[in-house]
Amino acid sequence: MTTNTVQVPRSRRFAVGDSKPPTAERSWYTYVLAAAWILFLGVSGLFFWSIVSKSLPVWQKQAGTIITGTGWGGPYGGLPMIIGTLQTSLIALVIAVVVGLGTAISIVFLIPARLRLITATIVELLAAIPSIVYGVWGLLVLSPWMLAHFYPFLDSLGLTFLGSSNIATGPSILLASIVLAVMILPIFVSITREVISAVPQDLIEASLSLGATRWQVISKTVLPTARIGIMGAAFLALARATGETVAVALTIGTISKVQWHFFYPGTTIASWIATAFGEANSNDIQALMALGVILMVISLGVSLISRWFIARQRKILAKV
Amino acid sequence: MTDDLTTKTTTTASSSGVKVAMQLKDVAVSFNGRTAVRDATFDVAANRVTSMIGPSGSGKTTLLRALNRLHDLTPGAKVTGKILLEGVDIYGPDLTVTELRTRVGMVFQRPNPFPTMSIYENAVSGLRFNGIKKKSLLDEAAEESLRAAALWESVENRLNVAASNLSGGEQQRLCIARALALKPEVLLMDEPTSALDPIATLRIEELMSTLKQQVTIIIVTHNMQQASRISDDCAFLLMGEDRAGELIEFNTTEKIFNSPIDSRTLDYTLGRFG
Ligand SMILES: Nc1ncnc2c1ncn2[C@@H]1O[C@H](COP(=O)(O)OP(=O)(O)OP(=O)(O)O)[C@@H](O)[C@H]1O
Ligand SMILES: [Mg+2]
Repeated sequence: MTTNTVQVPRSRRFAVGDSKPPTAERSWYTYVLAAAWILFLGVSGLFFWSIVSKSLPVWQKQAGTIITGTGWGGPYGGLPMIIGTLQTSLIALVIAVVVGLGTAISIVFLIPARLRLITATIVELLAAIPSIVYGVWGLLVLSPWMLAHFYPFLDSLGLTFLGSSNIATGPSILLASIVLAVMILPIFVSITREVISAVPQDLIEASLSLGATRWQVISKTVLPTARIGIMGAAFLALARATGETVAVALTIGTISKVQWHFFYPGTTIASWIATAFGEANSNDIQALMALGVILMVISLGVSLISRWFIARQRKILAKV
Repeated sequence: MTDDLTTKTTTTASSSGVKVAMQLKDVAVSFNGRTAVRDATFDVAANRVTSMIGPSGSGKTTLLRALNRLHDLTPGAKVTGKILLEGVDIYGPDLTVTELRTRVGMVFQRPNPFPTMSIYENAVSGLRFNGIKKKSLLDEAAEESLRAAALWESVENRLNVAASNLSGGEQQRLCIARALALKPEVLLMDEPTSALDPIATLRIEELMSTLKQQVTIIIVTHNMQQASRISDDCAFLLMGEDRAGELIEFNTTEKIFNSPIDSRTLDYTLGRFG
């Protein structure tokens, strides 16, 4: 719809500065930059090649089992880790979306400017905390509290499919999921906040001018207009959750078992790799590398979906 | 107050026996204590088109937005004076802000249909906000308002496509239909054609002259020809020494353009400044 009148140079080689630098100088820094670029390509190529090649025997000998098997050693089965990764990150996502959407809406529409700044600062702060701190907090603070209060509370609601609070020991799928939820909350809130702030003011005013209440403006105009971008934020948060290692390793219990009772321990790909590496023999290492490839594919897929959503949201807003 | 009025030249429509839709009495709007527009006193006659003209920054938009309380959103905005809708104070307790806005609709400068809604959903969005769910009522209102906005023929067969598929002029007529669906008494329009090409502009102007039979129109425009072509009454605003806009003259459009009382009005309509 809009035509670009400004020509953006495809390569900025000669666009930097007013005139070309003297030949000697140019060749000097050109080589440095080119070397950096080649180093980058080399390192990333080496990285992918080594991971894939290290895991190659697994893909050749037991490609099916690594995805669908459940035992570890002999044939290596990655199903408990794959399922655990999906379980923890999806539970975390649900919690983070519910809490985060409410938070983002409040930040943009409800709370006064000064509180808004404070809340935004807290969000930034949470994002900057290293994951080991979340893990230790989950283990030392959240876990005892859940053992004493939260598991029994869920028990009393009759949610027996989650397990029994009498048998629970602390580390669990649920604990890891809640820790993950807290960890991915900041990124979800900050992107969602940006997306809903970008909904044009005149759509809000148009709704109000049609007699919409403030709540209707949010539910019928702002959220529908922003929904694709919010999906993008959710998938970005999901990508972060699938790859999280240390905090999960500390709180999930790390047992190679497909675990549907969320009060009990399980494992994820990332936490399994981190914990199993120490005592791994060369066969184990091949299997762990194969798990790494699977995790990479999952994370990459989720990230790509997130980018796709965010790009589509941009397009929607460009049309408005 | 009386002192003030001797220097103002405003006529009240009520004195000439015409029904009054809205009355402004000494209306002023300020942002964080800084006055943006003041001294607005005039009657908006029902079933006529009232235009507001004046140079950029003279407070036309600001004044217009006071009429459906859109300034309520802006922290630091303050509206003083009295604005009456059929005799009822719009800032008073007898009228809720949502009821006011269903009775006083608004069309914006930039066509802004809801991007995630179809043409149909846009047309009935106001009814939905007001809790109307019955399909037959919505269908009827959609057709009626789209017809009133001269859009029905061209969209009849594609009511469920996204509103963003329409041309700019069609989108603006959809926005007019959207406002009309609530059967408002007054329609506020802030430079509704400034984003449109001449042909689309002409169609909206034609539309307004038929629409005024069912709704009172208040339009802000920069376009002097437009004001003289389409409006029956005209308010001229200008910045005072302190940069605050004020009402200079209010009269029939014919008088404002042909025999204004204030020399500044004459200067402006002749294009000598602004
Ligand atoms: N939300 C706001 N906060 C602070 N000042 C404002 C706000 N809205 C408008 N103003 C000020 O009020 C004055 C009048 O602006 P307004 O937009 O009403 O002028 P206008 O006559 O509509 O101009 P234009 O013809 O350019 O649309 C300006 O000085 C503007 O800076
Ligand atoms: Mg304006």
